[in-house]
Amino acid sequence: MSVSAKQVDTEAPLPLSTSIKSPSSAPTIADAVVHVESKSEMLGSGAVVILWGHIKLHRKRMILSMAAGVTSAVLQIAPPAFAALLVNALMIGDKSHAIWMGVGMIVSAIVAMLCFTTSTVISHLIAADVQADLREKIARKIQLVPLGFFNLTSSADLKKIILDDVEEIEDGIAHLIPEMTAAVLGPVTILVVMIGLDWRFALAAFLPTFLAFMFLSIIMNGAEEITNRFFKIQARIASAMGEVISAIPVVKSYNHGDSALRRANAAFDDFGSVMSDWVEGNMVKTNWFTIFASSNLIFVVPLGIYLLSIDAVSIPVFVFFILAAMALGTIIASLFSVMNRIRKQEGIVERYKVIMSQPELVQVSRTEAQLPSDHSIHFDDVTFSYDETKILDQFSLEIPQGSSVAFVGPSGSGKSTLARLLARFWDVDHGAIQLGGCDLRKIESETLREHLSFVFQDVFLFSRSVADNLRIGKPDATMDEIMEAAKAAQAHDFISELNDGYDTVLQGGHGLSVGQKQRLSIARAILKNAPILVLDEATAFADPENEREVQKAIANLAKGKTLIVIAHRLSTIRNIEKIVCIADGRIIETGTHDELVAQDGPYSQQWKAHKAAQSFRMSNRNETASDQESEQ
Amino acid sequence: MKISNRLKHVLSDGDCKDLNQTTWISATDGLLTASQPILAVWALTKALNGEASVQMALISAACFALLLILRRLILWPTTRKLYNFSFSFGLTQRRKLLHHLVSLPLGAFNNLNRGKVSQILSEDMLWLENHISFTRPSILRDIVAMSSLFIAALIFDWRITVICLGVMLLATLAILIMRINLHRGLRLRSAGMGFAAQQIIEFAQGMPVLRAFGGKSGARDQFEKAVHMMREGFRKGVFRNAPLGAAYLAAIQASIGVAMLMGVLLLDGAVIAGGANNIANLAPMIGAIILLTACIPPARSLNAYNGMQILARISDENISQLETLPSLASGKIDSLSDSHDVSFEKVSFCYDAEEKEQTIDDVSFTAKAGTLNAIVGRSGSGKSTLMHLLMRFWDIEQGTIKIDDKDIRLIKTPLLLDQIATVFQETMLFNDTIANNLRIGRPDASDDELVDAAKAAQIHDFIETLPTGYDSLVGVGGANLSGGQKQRIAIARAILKDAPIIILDEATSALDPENEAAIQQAFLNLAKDKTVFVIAHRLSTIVDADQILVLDDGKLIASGVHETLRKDCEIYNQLWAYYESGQGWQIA
Repeated sequence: MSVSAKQVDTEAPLPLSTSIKSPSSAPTIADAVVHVESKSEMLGSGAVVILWGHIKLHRKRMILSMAAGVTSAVLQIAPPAFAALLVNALMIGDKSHAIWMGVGMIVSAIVAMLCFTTSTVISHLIAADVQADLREKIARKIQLVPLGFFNLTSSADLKKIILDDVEEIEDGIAHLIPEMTAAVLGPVTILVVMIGLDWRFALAAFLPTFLAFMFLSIIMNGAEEITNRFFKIQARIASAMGEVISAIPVVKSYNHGDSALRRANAAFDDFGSVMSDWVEGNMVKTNWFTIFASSNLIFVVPLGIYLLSIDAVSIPVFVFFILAAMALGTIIASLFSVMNRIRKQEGIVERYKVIMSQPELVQVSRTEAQLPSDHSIHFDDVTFSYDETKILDQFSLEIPQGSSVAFVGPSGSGKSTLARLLARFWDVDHGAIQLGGCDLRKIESETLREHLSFVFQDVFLFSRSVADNLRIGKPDATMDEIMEAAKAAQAHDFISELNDGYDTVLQGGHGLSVGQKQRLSIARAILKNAPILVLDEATAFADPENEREVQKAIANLAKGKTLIVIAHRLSTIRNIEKIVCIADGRIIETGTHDELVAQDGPYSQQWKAHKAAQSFRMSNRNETASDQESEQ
Repeated sequence: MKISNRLKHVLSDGDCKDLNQTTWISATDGLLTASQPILAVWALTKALNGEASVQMALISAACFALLLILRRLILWPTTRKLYNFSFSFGLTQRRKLLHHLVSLPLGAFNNLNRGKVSQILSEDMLWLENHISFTRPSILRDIVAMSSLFIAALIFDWRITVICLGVMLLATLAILIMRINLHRGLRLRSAGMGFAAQQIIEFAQGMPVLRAFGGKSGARDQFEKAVHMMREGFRKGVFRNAPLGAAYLAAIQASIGVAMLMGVLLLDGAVIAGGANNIANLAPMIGAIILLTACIPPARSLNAYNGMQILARISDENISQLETLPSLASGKIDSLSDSHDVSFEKVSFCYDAEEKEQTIDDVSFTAKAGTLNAIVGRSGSGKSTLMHLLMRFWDIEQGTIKIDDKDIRLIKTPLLLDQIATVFQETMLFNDTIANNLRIGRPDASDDELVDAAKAAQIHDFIETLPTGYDSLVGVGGANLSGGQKQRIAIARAILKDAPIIILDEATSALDPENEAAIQQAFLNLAKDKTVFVIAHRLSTIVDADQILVLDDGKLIASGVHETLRKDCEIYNQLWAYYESGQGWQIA
């Protein structure tokens, strides 16, 4: 029953502490996945304390589990004791007493094992709850962190933390109570009884255990550095392989020379060089511990024979010490495995703490939450930096309810960032963004979401049915509404041609063209039908025959709404009432298309470039296309 | 024993033999461990016969010391070898799996859950490594230890040994039943983990969508479902396995008591009546009890290893599932001439065998070396698919695709891919430096060549503004860059590759006008004298193409130059009409 999936650690001792400091001030998950840091003071306490903190929440079950654990631990002394008493009874010729001792042994064994199982079952149930709690806690957390977090943390790393690490934490919790109590109380009980009986034997029985732990601490100290390297490289392998899986098409098209597998191969090579050092410094040497921990008879037996030869000890006492020393060896082996588990938890708990210590976007409390008075947007002196690069610099703009505005500017000018700040993927550094007169930070996230619809440049589709993917913005949408939205986004026809129509499960959107995916994303926004619509390069991939229809759909959708369009295809935004030209995070020009063209400023240059690009003709003959005249 | 087959498959014959030998040698440690209680019992028996002496004490001490030395001699080299074998197995197996994954047709990934694949490459591989270095030798060692102890106990007192063995066998029966249960339970768990992995990965990747759209209920439902499933599955597993597990442990532990009790009952009165004087007669029973007690720890460990072994088997099954997916076989041709005519002959293809319609339906055309070929058609008409077929992302069902008059299936895959440089609509970058992302195009490119390509793709100036220049990390999937910057890096990568066949699939869709104009120039340079395929929604781009292929519903309905198609092809004219109206159309 206690066969859970995580007993790998029984043979993999980890160091108690490692001390690679990450160069930057705030540790990132990538760091934590890569470095097993565990002594960083800012992150506070060790694994046992953290685990204990979670166990404590289930007090009643915990006490029950501990009580059962303690009983089974104390009962470890019973079999040797009953055996010795039985031998004693036989020696004085009392058969019925001997029979009772035999019965006592059977009963104590059964009681001990039942207690052990009870303790384990309860602690596993606690663990299952803690596991689910932790996963939901992390999930809540990563919904609140600024989105830049995901630039540094791959989904594979997050999978490792939420799935694999938490799975391992279960092991710590499930075994902490019964086995830790047994492993600590067992030897103590045995020691007390032993000393009471004969201190010389007690010393002989405990000496190998003492030696074993002495060796262990020497080995652990010596192997700290190599173990750290070992786990670092293992994490690198996992991360590199995760990446290969998510970029298979590129990997395939650059198959030559394995260049696309470079990171994975480099990690493999490095692993090869670390591996043998780790085995040598850690696994091989740990045998010293194994040998001594399983040699409890080594002093007891010669001492017993000697004492018998001078008549200084009785046979039953000698038998007791042989059996008790063997029991001690077993307990020490399990103590070792519990220690390893806890040690392994250190690294895991560290990653958990790193993730939980990420700064969050401040959430307003329900009582202080404000309701936007209308659907206007006001960028008020907004400054925002990412990675120490200033993206927006004292950016101010008023967008009245029901008006439309287009952001244009070179790639990297900050125009997409404006949309992302509006979605509160990040918070501004200085200034404020107001929606209907309320600072975004004072609006509940639900309210904010209800006000905004987005169509992003990168379309992400979940591996769920088409209908469920569209329903994301409106979970209670009826099938009719979904189909209507899909029709408006020109997506209905191709959806109907899929094998199971709207019930077709999309595997990450495979088999759909980029234009089709984008139309699904537009359908999503149409279905949601929020009062403010943000389009970030929404029609970049639209195909000619759909573009017009899609634009029509968007125009219908946008009617009466506050509309923000980010576009590089300038012809699509010609008619927008206000065009805002952005460069280096500042507004450099605003006006209507005609005004801006007349001004002959940066916009007009872009417009010319756009016209040139429009009339570009691809050719592989030696001629240039740049001097061809634009048509319109 | 499927795992042993895998070992044979992955490790060399010599290594495999060596590994098996090492495993057996390490198992002799079981015999040495068992020798300790045996030695104790032997000494005790001597003592019970009144032969205890200082000399005896010294002899037993010497024997224990000898055992210690022997264990030292056996454990060190075997541990070293076992771990090194398990890791080199792990490395080779992972490399193999990765190459297999890459050699799969892309279609395989439509039905393959990525979470599961990543679970196989991480957790499942760990279980197999663990199996080699730890579980397998431990099981063998414990079996050796138990057998030695039982044999010794039989010699001392066969009656109580048989009784004890009987109880333990009953318990083992329980464990065997449990094993069936456990295998089923753990299988489910493994599948559940794959599902959960997928949900978590999407939860992270889809975070922008979830943040922007997720309403009260919609956002985390799948994720929560996965968490709930795991919790319930786990609880069920605990409840299902607890009774049998408890019974096993209790039976094992109690078997000694039962044996002792029976031993006492079987003793004849004379022995007991003899009391202390007849102590020697008690020796066999006491000896057997000590030896049987020594069997309990290995018996308990075997229970735990049993679970680990099952997990290793499930991992092996998962890996086998992945391995049995048919990969695209590489051809034998390893050189091509400089002429790169590309021809499609009666090519048909569909993604899904159940699909009613062909995605590509009987397409034939030839693209002469050095010509510009445009592919146009409505969305979903098969334009991108056609190009993916040329790169053997999938293999076709009917017809032939030829490069340089050779069937691409007969060309070595790396050589084939060497011939083609691509820029896709969707850019994929690795979380590595910019330089390394560019070098994917040509690993041996010099720094100067790198800079030249970046300049041509209009990305050099931007890279120079970064604090660490070409050594800057692009973030997960290029997240530190804007869409246009990513696309320009992908273009630079293709420029650097400088292959004789070029595929541009909406290669400038994410660019702002100024960059686009400049890059178009770069394309003109790149395309010179090459066989070029262009998929462009902006039809004005391709009016000068040597050949325009018009696709509709997977069929090639017309091909020719712009002027002829304008005259003859209705669909082409329709596309233009759409295009021109789209151009004139504006949002709002």
